[in-house]
Amino acid sequence: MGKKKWKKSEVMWGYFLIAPAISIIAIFALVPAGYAIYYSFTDYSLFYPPYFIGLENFKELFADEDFWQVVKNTLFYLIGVPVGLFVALFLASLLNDRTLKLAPLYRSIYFVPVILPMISIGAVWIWIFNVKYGLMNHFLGLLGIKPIPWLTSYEWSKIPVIITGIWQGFGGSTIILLAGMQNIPGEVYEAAKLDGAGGMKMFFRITLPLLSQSIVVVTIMSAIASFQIFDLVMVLTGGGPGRSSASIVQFIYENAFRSFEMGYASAAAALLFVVIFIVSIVQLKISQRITNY
Amino acid sequence: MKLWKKNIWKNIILIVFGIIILLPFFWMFTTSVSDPLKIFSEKLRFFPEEWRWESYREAVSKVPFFLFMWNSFKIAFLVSLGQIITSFFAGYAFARLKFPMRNLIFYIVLGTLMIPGQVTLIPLYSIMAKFNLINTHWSLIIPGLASPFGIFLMRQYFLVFPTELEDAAKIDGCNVPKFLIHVALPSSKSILATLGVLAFIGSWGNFIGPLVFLTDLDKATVPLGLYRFMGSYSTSWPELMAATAISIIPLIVMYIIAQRYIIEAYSFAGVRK
Repeated sequence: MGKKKWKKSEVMWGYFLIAPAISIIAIFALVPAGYAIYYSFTDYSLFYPPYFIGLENFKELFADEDFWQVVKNTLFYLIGVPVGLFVALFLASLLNDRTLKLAPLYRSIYFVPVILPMISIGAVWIWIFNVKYGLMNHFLGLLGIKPIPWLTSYEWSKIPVIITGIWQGFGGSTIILLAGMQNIPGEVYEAAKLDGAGGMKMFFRITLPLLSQSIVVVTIMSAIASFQIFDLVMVLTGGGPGRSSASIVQFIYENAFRSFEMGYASAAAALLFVVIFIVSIVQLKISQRITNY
Repeated sequence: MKLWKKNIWKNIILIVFGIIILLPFFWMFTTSVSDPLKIFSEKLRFFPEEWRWESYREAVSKVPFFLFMWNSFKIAFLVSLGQIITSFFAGYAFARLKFPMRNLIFYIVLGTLMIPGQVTLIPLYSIMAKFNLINTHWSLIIPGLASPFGIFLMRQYFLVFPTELEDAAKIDGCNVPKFLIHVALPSSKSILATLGVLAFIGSWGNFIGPLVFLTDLDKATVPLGLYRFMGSYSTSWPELMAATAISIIPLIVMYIIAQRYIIEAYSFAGVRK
């Protein structure tokens, strides 16, 4: 009796329960995504209605030196991805040890910056990178290295962004990789030990291959975050000096909300969207292949 | 003995990385209690000669920092509450109820995870302008009331939720809302807390949203207020470090309390994404 009543109302309740979430996501994510693509084919400045101009924005973008500069900078920021992955792999393999009593404490400490606002983190690091009185140059001075104008020179300005980004993120990657390592059954290692495999061999022959799923996740997540880098650049260098450290998102922000070239900015945003979409699909495909082997 | 020796090296390396993480915070604090004139010395001082708390008072008097905190808190609280409610309902429906087009709708929701926030920002701005919500906190609260990640998380949770409980409820003639409130809700407290904490952290840290939508300084959130503080006042380093310390304290407190949930949720997000 009860079961029948339940069944009948399932469809109604299903739609009713998803309605709040779906309407928010539809209105504030899906529809805007559609509009973003539409705007990218228009001349639109917020004060006037969008005017369709076909591929003009994209043509202009590809001829825009400033755009190529921010693309180059953003690609440069990707250097942080493998470095951060390497640090996290190293730390996770050290932490993956049952005899290590303090492992949870280390893990908790490494994770602290992950939860903090990028702006706060940037505020601390802008002081660390201060050319004259900053901690970084103090330490380098101890090694006999002359002060480096981290934030004010064309050659160096991207480096502080990368360093701060790695510092902020490695704890998060470590936790994901560690969770992956702890999912590897202990028997696999036992068997390898019986075969006389050493620690290094076990790491490369067992841990790394069985961890590939987590490694893919960490790599893609940090690559996507790197493509979207904005907050750190805004606090640390403001994109300067010149445009030497400006990122794609900064280009979008400035064109849209400073020059009110919203169609032009949308074209850049659409390109970013395509890149991130491709990266996400690649992740999906790789993950599927790994789980299906 | 051998094990102990091996672990000593491990511990040393791990402590070095711990110091790398903690040193910037320590230096932030040291600077914040230093005399603004004395920090400009060639000699590195890790402990100030005398502790000077003036900078904290100056920072909060130059810009309304407590107001920023209140703004951030209000927005983050409503966003997490909204996400908890909408995700709880939708997650349950997608996992347990059968209705036409269920999977299609779910995959579309999941697909929106791939849309970067910066892409939708421009159309979102026109929408907010149309509804006269620019320069109000609603422009940040309303779009945050639901999240595809939250729905995904709750759906995973309900996929493995024991069917016995549901069956018992059905036999008792319990309907869906009764079941949700009396059976599912009490046993989902910890996952909902996790989701709430994650949403809170995300909302608190958001910078580009407030930067675009909020124009008045009184409306600013903590990150935006800190950014404005850096830019437009004759800010001294101790003042900036004091302001930064204030800006992270609420999150540090929250982390200390809810650390286990946060870390668990993060590894879940990573493994299942």
